[in-house]
Amino acid sequence: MTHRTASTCCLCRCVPIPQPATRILCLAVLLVGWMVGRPCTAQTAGAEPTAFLSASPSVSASASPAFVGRASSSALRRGDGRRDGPGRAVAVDRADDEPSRARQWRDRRQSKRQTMHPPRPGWLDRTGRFIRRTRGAVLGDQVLLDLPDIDLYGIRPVFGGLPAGAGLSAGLNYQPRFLDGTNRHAYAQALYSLNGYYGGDAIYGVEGDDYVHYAYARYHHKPQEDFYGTGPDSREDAEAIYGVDEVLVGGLFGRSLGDNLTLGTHASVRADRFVQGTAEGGMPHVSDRFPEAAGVGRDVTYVMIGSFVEYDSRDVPGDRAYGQRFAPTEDRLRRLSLDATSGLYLSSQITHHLDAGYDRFSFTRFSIDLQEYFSIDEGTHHGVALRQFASFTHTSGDQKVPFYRLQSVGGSESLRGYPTGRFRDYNVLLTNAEVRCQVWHWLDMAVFGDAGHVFRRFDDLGADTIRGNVGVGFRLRTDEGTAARLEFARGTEGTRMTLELGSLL
Amino acid sequence: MDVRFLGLVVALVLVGWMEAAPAATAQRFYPDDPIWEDPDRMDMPAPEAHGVPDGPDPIGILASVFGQAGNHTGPAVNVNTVEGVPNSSWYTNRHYHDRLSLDALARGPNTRRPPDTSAAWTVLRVDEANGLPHAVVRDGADRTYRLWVDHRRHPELATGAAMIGSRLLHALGYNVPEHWLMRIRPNRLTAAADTVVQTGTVRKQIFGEARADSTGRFRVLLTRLPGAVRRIGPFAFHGTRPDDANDIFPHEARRELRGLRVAAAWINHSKIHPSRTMDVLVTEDDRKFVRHYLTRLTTVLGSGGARPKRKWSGHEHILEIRAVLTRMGTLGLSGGGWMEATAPDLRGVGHIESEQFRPGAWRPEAPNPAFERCDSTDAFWAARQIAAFTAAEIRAVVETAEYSNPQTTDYLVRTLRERQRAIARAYLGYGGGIDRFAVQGDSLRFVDLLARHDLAPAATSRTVTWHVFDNEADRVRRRLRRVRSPREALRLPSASPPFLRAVIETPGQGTTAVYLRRQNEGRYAVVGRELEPQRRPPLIQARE
Repeated sequence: MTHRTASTCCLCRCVPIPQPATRILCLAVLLVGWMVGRPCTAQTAGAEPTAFLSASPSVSASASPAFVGRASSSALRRGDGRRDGPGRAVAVDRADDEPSRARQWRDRRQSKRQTMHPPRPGWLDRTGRFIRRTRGAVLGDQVLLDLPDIDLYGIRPVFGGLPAGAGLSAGLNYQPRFLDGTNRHAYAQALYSLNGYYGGDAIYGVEGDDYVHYAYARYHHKPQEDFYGTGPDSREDAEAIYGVDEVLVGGLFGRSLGDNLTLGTHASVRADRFVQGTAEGGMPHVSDRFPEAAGVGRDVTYVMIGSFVEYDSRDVPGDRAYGQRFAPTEDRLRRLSLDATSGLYLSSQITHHLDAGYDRFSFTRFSIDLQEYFSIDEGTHHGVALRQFASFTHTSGDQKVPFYRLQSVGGSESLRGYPTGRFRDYNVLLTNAEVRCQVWHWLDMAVFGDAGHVFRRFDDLGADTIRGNVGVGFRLRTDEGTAARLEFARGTEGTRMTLELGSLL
Repeated sequence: MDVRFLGLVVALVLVGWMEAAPAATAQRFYPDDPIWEDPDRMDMPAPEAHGVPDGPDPIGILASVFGQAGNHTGPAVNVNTVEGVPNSSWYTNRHYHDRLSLDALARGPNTRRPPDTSAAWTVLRVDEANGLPHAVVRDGADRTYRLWVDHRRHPELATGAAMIGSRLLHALGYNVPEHWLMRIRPNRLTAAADTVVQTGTVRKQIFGEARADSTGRFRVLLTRLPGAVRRIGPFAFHGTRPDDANDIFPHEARRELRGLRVAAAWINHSKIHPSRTMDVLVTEDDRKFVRHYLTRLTTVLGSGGARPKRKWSGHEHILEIRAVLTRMGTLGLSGGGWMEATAPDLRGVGHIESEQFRPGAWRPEAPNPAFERCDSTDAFWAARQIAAFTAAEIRAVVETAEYSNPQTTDYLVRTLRERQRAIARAYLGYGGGIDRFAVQGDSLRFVDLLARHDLAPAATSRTVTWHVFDNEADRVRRRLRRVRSPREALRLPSASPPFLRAVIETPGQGTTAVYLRRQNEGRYAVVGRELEPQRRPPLIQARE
């Protein structure tokens, strides 16, 4: 007995399928149907191809049946209504099984909802964010950092701040919040350098609309200072090492007369303690090479009283009223402002140093500093900067100036082609000239020339004893000022490179 | 043959056809095309809030020198079939599509009540950006605003720029905060009760570097994101937000962000950066979704914030090594024509001019992945909207800045008009420079943008080729006719297939293909449009 096998369609399982032989025919019909339904290719149909329009391949690919027919709700709210234009909304609901552009897009969103996750930034992104969130404050010769998400009770890392011979220095800066305020400044910091220099200083100051006063204290341990002898003819190979510990405590009062003029006075006690110093590589000590130099082996304590006047019309960002740069904590020989592009700066100060111990090292120093800044093109920071500086030291009777307190030129603030403190004497004349331009939004470039002269008496002045150099420099700028500078200068004793932090006022 | 078997065969053939038919994959136009509402305001879980610091990302800048962020390289993807951008949480079609009145243009995004002045405003926080102090304040109606004050050396600069920028971007379709310009005395502000900072200190922080007018009042700008439940951080100009399900199109592939390059060039928004955007969680009709805003517009036009914009801004990215080396080698004497650019010394202007403005060469300070993918179609899309502003409309917008010097208003109107015209010259010709297609009666009508903006003769003769279009197969079929016409109305062919395709060639300019669909009532409507169908849109001059 033959048995007719009943089976159902493999597609919908509802239509009875005839005998197996006939099933083959059905499959063939299916194949024909599929062939007929295939889209024509350009080659076979000869039809003109058209470029893909509108949505991306990814959108097109999402038009799979899997995405169709899930959503329902108000059409316009969902956005699947067609409009005659963007401003004329006449939306219509469509059947859930009808394919539509909006439905594709909506279904992609529902699909993403199933797999979405919080952002997971990579390490490169995290690093970039950390750098961007790190805030820095550019001070005189320091850069102060605010690390994001780290609260150390007001303690922040600081870079720079020790004398030029210290090399790379860093430390911690603390600004007590209870003393800080709109008109108050207070900080204390401790610094250390790779060359073994260390120190600390603290300042508390109050400033009003037309006055400033503050107190300061500083300690510096400087174990590797260079001394080449005095006068313009001192030899490079005569270099010797000495060390000095400095302690300084005092106060300053200044008053502003108008927008540009400031005058004031200060009083301090300063203790200089001579130390042998750390000589490396067979370098001789000063006490061995220059035993006759004034101040060798002597500790001196000074009472210092001085006054200053300043006229400043430069377009320097910064607070002129603070007047910190006139305190004895700061160098007498200031640097050219890297940020000013126009204006005039003139300062003069006189300070008497009274030797409170032996009364053998008292002296009076007068200095004048004139700086001019000319803008060639303000938009591109093209400009010229000029500076003339003079310092004169007077002693009475047989008083002398300790060699380490002589005015010096050489180094990043004066003669940039020579080492720090290369030339020392009682009196100094110095001139600097720079042509500046902006080569990048964060980078300035300068071509400069420096000329300096040290002398004991005015009779010693002569063209043959002037020392000079030329060079090129690059300055990294921020919105707050110059953050760092790199300079190459060539003088008669070779080429020197200087890398320093800070914006110079 | 058995009738049942015959029926089965027919059924199987049909099933086979349906199974293999290409409708789902090749169909070009769906019944709802062209869509004008992107369903991206669906109720979704709220994304996490995150922030981004102000200023350029040094690592991102270095990376941009050697590569490009984002993966998408093709044309924009969030467009409809007529190359338009549907309304979405990013963008709303406004002035170009439905002309705004002068009042509406001047009102801009300010659709709500102004800040309440019935009580003192509480200062919740004081911050600083681009040297400009700003504060978060709460008004008498318990609404939160951001308050901005100009620097005393450059009064009206930042606040004026933000007023103008917000109105123009809003009219162009972007989401921007409400911007209110007011004059207040410092005693309107008080420190929040739960802070240790005293009111006097707060006032000094805000107004310390500002300048009061002769009556002792300060000009302030207040901005507010309407309906914001929560700020969830800025958006990037590439990729998508992984925790926002509504965000499916890579941002570098969004036309409104690519086209923003042209709008940003117009208003010199060269500091545009993720930090000048904000994603905001909003609730509408019980749906939570993210709306995307352009914020901090105090640095558009000639304003750099507290001071005028730098000369290079808008002409160079923040790092372009070749330009740096050129300037090093010539001590800054060479390296960019922008060095010659000058702007008048008028209060509130800053540094913006039109003489050195080249739309294709304009670029933001920070490289922008979406801008760098702006192709000619994106640029055309943006340029047609920018070109649509009349002089009177631009003046109405500029006057909202309330400059004290009328010369400032005149200069900015003139400068924006000249920059607008430069943009039109650069981009409007793409595809033949024709737009606003519509079927009226038995004609396909359009507007010759080049002629309308006096960039080409009014009677340009165009060649039009009509074809039958097979939507299911996405193929062009039988050619119907080919005619030449100088008119802005093309008579439809007598045949009436379901879809028609017209290719309009404008000599010397380009080609646009327009697709028409027969409606139920037998009339045709524009369903698709394609610029330069024979070639991929070239990238405009994103990098020189």
